[in-house]
Amino acid sequence: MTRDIHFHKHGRTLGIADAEEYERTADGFMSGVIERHTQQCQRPNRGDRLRFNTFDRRFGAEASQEPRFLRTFYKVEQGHINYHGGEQAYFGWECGRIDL
Amino acid sequence: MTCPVCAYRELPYPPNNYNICPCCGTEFGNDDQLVTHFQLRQQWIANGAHWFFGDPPVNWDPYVQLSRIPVQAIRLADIAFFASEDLGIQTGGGLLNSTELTWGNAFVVERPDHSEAVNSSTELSGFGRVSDTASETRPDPVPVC
Repeated sequence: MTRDIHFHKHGRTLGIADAEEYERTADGFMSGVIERHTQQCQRPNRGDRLRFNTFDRRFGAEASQEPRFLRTFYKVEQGHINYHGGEQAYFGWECGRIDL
Repeated sequence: MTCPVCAYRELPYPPNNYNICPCCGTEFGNDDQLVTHFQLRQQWIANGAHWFFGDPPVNWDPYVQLSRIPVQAIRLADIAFFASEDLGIQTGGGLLNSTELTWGNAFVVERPDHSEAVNSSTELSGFGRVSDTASETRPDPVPVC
């Protein structure tokens, strides 16, 4: 993940003040114990590992093949979730994506 | 690589897998989930076409950059959206009912029944949404009796 540009884009909506904190938060979200309201899956064909918190809408993606690295970490827009019919449906759709 | 939204040519990575264009700020795989690249381009222009991250290249001009977008890269659906949403033109299910559409310096699309798309170029590489729009706007070269 090119950290600084991702922080520039998503930091404010996540309430994060600087790029270092953004990276720490993303690492904790993706690598720590799976929190309550957080779900995890892996995309088909050994694709990205994803986590999504259905309560606060935080979403992260990590490349699952070596070298592993964070691709992104952001708060999903409510409109995207609504478009797919709710949190569960949204994450189910994300987990099945092969168009990336 | 070229950004399919803003036509920035120095994209340091492919436009996919959550990479972000430093010019227009599009995050590919996220921002383009529900809207087309054409719509994202419109939003970027409407917001001032500002450089997104870091310092822009010397003498960078967003409108010169946008003018490089070939008309072939515009999808039929995008043109229909453009016509109906921005100009208030009722497309009536057809391609274009207006006499002409202009968008910035980028392209001009004329009425399809007596003209063909103009200001086109062969620069197609790097655009994932290239379609046969241009061919749909051209008259049939062989008259049908």
